[in-house]
Amino acid sequence: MKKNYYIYIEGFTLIEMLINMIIISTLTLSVIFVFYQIQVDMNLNEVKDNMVVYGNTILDDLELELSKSQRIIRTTQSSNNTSLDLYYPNNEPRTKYFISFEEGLFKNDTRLDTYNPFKELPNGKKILQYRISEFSIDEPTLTTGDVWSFEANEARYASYEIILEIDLYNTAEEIIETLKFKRRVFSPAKFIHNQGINNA
Amino acid sequence: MGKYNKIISGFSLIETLVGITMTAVICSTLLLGITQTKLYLESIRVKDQAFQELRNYTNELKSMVATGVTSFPPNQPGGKPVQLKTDKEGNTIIRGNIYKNITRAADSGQYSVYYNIFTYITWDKQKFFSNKDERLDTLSFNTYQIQFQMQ
Repeated sequence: MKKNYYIYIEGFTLIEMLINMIIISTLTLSVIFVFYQIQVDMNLNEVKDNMVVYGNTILDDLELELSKSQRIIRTTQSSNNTSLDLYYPNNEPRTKYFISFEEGLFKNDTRLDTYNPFKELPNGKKILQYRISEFSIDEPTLTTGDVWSFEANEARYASYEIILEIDLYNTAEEIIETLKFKRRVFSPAKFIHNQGINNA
Repeated sequence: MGKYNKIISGFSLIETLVGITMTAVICSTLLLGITQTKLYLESIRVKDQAFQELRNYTNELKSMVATGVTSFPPNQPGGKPVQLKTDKEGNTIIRGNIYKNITRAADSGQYSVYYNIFTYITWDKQKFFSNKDERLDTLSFNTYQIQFQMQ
């Protein structure tokens, strides 16, 4: 009697399995690398967005107070610290600002907004994420802009130009970007005060 | 005597190619989505920078009007250039152009002189698949400023 015998060989060979493992390992490593990069990028973007909000918040506050004040006194305590005393018309209480590159901005001895330059890692190590690197407040120079007249100079004398720069750092604590803020503020109170002095 | 038949089954070439194509399409979609999101985030930052530049310029013009300036030079051809995005060396990547239009308000009186200040800024969009007709993005301010009368 004639019989047919079937031998079913199903499954992967050793070579197929090895190739499969290599391909899957490569794909897994690539995906892990891409997601790690995305995570690092997202963390940096989060810090950057926080600092953009921080810079704009403190400049908005300074702009509001400067527009109301008729005179400011600047004291540069060191290369990293500056204090400002703002005086208002009618002997209203003055406002004190203190800007420290390490501590951020204080208004009347109260910290304005959140400023924590260091991030604590799970192993307890602290790494620098950002730091103020420049702060200045000056009257615009007479050569600024494209309008030249006595009245235009009066406007410049009654204005301020605030420069704020914040450095962003990567995990190796190297500067990767510097956020630059520039704000031009006109102070009607200072203009009226200046006119009073000129007329006296 | 019996006959032995060997049956070896597995994925065919077509099945493998379909699998590879599907994986490639999914990966491409994911990467394209990430790139689009980064570009969108960057465009928000550029817009914020444009807003800051336009605000500073408008504040400058308002201070001029307030202190008594009555004539302003015309817009320079192509507008006033400002940097909206720079590389690490400080070279301009995206440039904005600011324009102004200052007119004395029609119902401005003899003792309450005030001006209408209209400023706007334009800049190039950086976007994939953007329509050429919608290449420019813009922001504008329309404000009024009274002239201070100091006697």
